[in-house]
Amino acid sequence: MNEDLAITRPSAIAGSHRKQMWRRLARNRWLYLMLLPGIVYFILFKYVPMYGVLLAFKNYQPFLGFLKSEWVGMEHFSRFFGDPLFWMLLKNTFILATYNILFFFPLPIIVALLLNELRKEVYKRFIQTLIYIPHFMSWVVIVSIAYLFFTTEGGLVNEGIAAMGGEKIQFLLDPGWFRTFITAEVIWKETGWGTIIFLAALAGVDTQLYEAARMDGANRFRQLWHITLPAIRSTIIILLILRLGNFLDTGFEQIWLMLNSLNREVGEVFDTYVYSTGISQGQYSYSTAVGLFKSIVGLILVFAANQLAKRFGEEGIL
Amino acid sequence: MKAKKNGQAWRKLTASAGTAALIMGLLAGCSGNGGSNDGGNADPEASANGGASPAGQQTEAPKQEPYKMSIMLTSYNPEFMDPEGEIYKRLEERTNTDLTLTWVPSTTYSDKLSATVASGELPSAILVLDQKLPYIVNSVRSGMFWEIGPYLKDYPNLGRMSDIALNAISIDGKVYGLYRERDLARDGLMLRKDWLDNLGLKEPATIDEYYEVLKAFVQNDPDQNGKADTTGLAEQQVAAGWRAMLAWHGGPADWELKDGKASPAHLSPAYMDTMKFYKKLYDEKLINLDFAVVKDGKQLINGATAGSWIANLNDAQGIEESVKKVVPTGAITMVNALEGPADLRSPGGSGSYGLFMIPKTSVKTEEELKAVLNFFDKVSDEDMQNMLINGLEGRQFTLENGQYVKTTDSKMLVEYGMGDSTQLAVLRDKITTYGGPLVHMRNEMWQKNAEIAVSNPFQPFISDTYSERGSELNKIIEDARIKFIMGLIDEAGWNDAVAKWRKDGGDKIIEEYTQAYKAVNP
Amino acid sequence: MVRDRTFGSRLFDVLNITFLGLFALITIVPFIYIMAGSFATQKELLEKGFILFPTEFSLEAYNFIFSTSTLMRSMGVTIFITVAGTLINIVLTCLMAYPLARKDLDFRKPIQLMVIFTMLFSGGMIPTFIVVKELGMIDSYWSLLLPGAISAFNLIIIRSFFQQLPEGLEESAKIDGASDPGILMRIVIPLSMPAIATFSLFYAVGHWNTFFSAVLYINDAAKWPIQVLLRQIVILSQGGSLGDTTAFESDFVPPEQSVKMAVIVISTMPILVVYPFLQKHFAKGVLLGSVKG
Repeated sequence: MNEDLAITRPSAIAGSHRKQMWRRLARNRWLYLMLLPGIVYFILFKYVPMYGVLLAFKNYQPFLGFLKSEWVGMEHFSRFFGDPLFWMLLKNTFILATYNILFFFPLPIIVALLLNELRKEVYKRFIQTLIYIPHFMSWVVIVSIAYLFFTTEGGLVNEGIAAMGGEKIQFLLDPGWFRTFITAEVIWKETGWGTIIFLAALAGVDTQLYEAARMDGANRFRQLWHITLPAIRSTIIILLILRLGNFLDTGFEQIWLMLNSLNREVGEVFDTYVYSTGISQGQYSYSTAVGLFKSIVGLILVFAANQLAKRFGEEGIL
Repeated sequence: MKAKKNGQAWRKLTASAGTAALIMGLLAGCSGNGGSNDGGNADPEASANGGASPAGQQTEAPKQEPYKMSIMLTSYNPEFMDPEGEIYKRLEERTNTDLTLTWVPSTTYSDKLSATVASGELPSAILVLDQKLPYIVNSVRSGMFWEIGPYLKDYPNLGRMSDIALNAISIDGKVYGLYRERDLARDGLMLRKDWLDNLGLKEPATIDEYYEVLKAFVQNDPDQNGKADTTGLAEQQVAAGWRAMLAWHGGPADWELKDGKASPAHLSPAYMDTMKFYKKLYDEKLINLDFAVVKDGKQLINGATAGSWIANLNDAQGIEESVKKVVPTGAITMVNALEGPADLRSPGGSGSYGLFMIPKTSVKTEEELKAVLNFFDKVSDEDMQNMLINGLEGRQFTLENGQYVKTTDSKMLVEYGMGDSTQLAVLRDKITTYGGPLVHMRNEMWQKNAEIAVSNPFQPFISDTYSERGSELNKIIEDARIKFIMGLIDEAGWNDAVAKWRKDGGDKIIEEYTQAYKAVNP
Repeated sequence: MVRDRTFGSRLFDVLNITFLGLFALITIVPFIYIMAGSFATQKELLEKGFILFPTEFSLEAYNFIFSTSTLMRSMGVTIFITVAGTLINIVLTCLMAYPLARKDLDFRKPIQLMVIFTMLFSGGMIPTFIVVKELGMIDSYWSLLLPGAISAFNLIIIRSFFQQLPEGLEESAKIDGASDPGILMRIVIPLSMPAIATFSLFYAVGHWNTFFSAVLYINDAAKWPIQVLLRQIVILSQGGSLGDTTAFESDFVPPEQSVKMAVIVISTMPILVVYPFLQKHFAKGVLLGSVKG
């Protein structure tokens, strides 16, 4: 706000401008002091180790250390892009990530809104507590439960289908079911957990606004549209932008556990590939190169999304 | 009003800042600095004397300063060895060391290993589970580890190490570590004894007999419950029985020497025969049809629904215990190998599991090296071997009528880390085996297998292409094999997969192995 | 309160509660299976595979886990890390988020850029390990508390929550002579309790699950948090040591299947118990009203 004032003042010459800035800095000294521990933290624990990114251009040997390992330029990248699997990996990762954003991302918002509409606080708390439990189960457990339900040998669902005279379905082997399962499992595990952040945002809505709207005869849907949604809009946008930063991170463990010989052609993604060729073989430089590629894609997406948000008059993350 | 409140807020803020400082202080108080080792700082004179003398004396002069050493190794149990415990004490006394053990949970071992290696703060000995990982090979080649091969003969126990196993762990023809001994060929067939008895059958000796047994297990109601609810062979995603079945069909253990060249198992005709055998089992529903998604096939035989399991015969004891909980009369029997088209054979391994390597960065002088080797030599004394594997009689176990009874006292269990102490054992040739008939049967089977074991002649060699692309290439073959067994591809489809394997790097691996082999065996 | 009592509205209520109830049911069934399994006998688990209520009640799994003598100690370690760590997290995150929420701050943009950049790029495990080592934090609890002291993700979102507070409040406080720390403590934090509660939960869950960094930075196994112990028990119950033919080669029998499930129950329970206490902070609009009034 003060900034605006300073800019619009026509008499501002360079000297007084700088003086004003000093005055602002002095006035905000507390704010800078508050920032200090955080900045030290980010420099120490995030930026000092950042040289590790350069491993992507070296042939890192742990025994030789960072400095003595030889530079290899773009070798790891050309190996990665030249891998016969590259395009398959890109396609699989892209599709799974898109499924995730299309089908999973909106759900916590919807469930949070529905929870918000519950009239009885008891119901709301009870359901909230139940749906956030799966977040704490490891993927190993979830995948083994999926097996118990969907295998063809005594799986509950297939037994049901067979009992009704249907033909058993190879849910876990058929490549056609793979993406559905991955997305459904994520929805099952994380929707409840994801609602928490939106519920926190909803808690900040001024109840007086609803009362005023009701006086004006607005029905519940209109209240939702004109009061509730705008209140959490910026949270949604920020989360979406941040999510795009990790767009190519599909998660490793779940997919690794769901992969098998029959669905690998649709299931193998960057994260599983880098695990089996890079990490488990101790090829740090190669793993780092793949990671760097993913980060750069994320960076581009984040900035593009941020610009887009700004164009629509949103705050964005920057 | 507000101004007054402001003052209060200030007091509050300073108060909470004070609390924060207090907490920080407490935290500082809690943080220790123990645990880190300084293996390189030991008194050189002491370690010089601590080194074993070639004459192989057992007793040390009492006044010698203990050699300060540390070892990093895997842990599989929730409790680590108690450093104040009796076993730890005896270990230090016998080896004349001041010992620090760094236990690392087995699942995170490789991360911890690489971070430790990178940080340069290495213990006196590290356990390496896969010495063919590129970064280990490269560090060996750049001289980071002691070559210990020439020293072994100077030690009474280490001198007994087997040439086969040493060859298997060697890198470029030299030995850089002390291997942890395992039996050479441990895979075999485990079957439900009570099912065989119910059906009036005996243990199969050939592949054909085994096929008949499987058929009877599925079709003739072996558990006599009047329902067709049994499976013949339990299998899983990462085939447990494949290597054994392949060897029984006359195939090699992973690689073989053919016409002077390296040749992978999947190029042998036996591989196709084995696939066809599995396909027959699949088509006739003699194995669990969902094997391609099953993570742990052993659960099927544990739960008494499957009749056989091919894997490490060590599983037998646990399976019998599990089966007995469901069917009290259940019992397990074993067959070490099935006869097929070729002679009786068994797939051989390396004869070891992991090796202790000694870094030059922490063990700087030859004297110190000798002190470390002395540790592993002393640990291989008969009583020490038994202490590490079985525990101490009267503490970790008692013998009742010759039967081994494990203690339930948790303090005693912690003394040997609930069994983690076995991780330290190198040689295992003087161990008293306790346990029931199945355990003794297993040992018998392993001995029989050792005599008929086929081994991989390319085990000690390194192929750069395999290191880089091996896991991706293996997937091509494994996926095609499973698809073939399930009838999703035919022989032509299989051949396509093999061609893809060759093209994507397989041919290069063959070439690299062949060259490495010829360099050593001209 | 004026209530909307039209037919459409009531129909919506019915549908809404049915849908949410069903969803809750679907998400909870597997947990019930885990709970039931942890109390079931090996026989029942092996025979039936999937159960929702054990016919025969067994405490063997819990006995097995609680017979571990170090359980209580590592539980203590975890509780300490969780409480101290969350406190550090929240204090540092709020301290940094508030200035960044102030639009009149110079250098705000570059600082935010610096934060966001760390979400996309990281030096990786080994360089971070070396920093922790150079700071002398190996084998100290600091290594579990400081390297993750601020989550960039949480920071950005808390900042945006702070930004959404009505600006008038701050302005009037300022006119009354309140300093910036005063505003943060007396106005911003109390008004943002739902967000603070949420992010305390996020941070606490993270600390509760501390596993990898503990194994990496702590050599002294006596200082390991409970997750290390629990995971080792799970490995043991999968017969993990069998593959390596180690412990008791002669008579090793892996513990019951139910142990795996009991481990999940034990590691989930404390967090589940804490949640309802945090929930009261989500109550709609309560705080805003009270401060204004």
